[in-house]
Amino acid sequence: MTRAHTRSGLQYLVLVWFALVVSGCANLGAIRDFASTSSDAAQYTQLVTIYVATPTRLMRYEPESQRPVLARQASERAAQQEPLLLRQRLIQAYMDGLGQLAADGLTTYDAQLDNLNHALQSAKFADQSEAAALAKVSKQLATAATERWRRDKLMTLIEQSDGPLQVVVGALVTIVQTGFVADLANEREALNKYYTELQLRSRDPAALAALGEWREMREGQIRDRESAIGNYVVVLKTIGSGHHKLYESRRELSHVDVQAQVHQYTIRLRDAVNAIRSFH
Amino acid sequence: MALSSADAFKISRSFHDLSVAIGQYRFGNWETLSEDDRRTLEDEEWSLLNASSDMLTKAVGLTLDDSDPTGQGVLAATAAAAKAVKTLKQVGKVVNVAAAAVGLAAAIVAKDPGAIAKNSKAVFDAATAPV
Repeated sequence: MTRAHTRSGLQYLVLVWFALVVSGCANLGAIRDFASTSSDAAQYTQLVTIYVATPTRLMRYEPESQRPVLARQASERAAQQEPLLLRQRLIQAYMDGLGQLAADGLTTYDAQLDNLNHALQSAKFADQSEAAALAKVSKQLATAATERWRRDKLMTLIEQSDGPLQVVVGALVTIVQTGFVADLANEREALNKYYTELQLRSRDPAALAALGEWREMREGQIRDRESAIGNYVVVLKTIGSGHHKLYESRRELSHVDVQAQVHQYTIRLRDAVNAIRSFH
Repeated sequence: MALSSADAFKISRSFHDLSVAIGQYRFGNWETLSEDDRRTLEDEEWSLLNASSDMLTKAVGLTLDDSDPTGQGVLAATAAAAKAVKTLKQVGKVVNVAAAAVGLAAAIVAKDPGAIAKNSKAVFDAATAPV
């Protein structure tokens, strides 16, 4: 009788423990999904590669006399590649850390963030407020890893990182939304000058038909890139607003309404990522 | 000239618009332009388009604030130039505006404040000269 009571009491404790574990995991499941999808989405580096390579691609369209200018621009853009990629890398590393804490795991420090610290020390980021924000997020991640933070520190991470993270994401949005879009507009105009002149000079119907097809194909590539840029802006803005939602709800992260709202950000992110991938 | 990122983006856009406007003039008057005029205009178009890319590259690496009033002068001059090219009929005038704008772009790339001010005025004068 006593043994039977002990056994059923143990079974009950195991059941309660299991239910707590399961409900605990489920309660922060939406945050883990959001973090994981954000990390996945932020690492889309192709737009940076395309921006850096624009002067080289334009050599195809521009006269030989412009070659030295384009070569200089190619070299200047190559120097911008690392700072651009490091911004994305930091967002990715942060989201990985957020997801690990939400899963009550230990965060792992991304060694590539050392490159970010070197770049900050070499003043590769001109804007002081952005450099300070990058340094602050990076430091938070280092602290989380060295102090072996777990789920109980999730609120602290969100609370201390939201401000600087918004600055980092906002700066990247400006670069992509304004810079990459304008870069694409220049490439579209280069293509227009090149093909319009060839078409005006040509008298051969077969050549004109071939030129028309090539032009259409190139214009299609530019439209695809334009769409990818638009969707990447959605990704970045959703990461920013989703994280700010976590910040606003940081004291009730496991609340079912908060989880449902965070899930909406994840859906938006997935849609944008799928749209980007459909072009490649 | 200490430009902000936002100013550099705007100047980039101005040079882009000017290059587009000159291109539209060249293609729109293709049959009546001499081969020399076509070539001259085309060279200026590419120079302006590349100046736009230069400003874009700068904008991506610049600070987000600290606007400089000189940037406003450049913007006003290039905006006047783009507007003028859309209405000018004589190729000589278009070439003058384009050449002045290319000079301005070179001064900006060289970061020469005196030359920027001088060339901004030259662009403005060329764009607003009586037809």
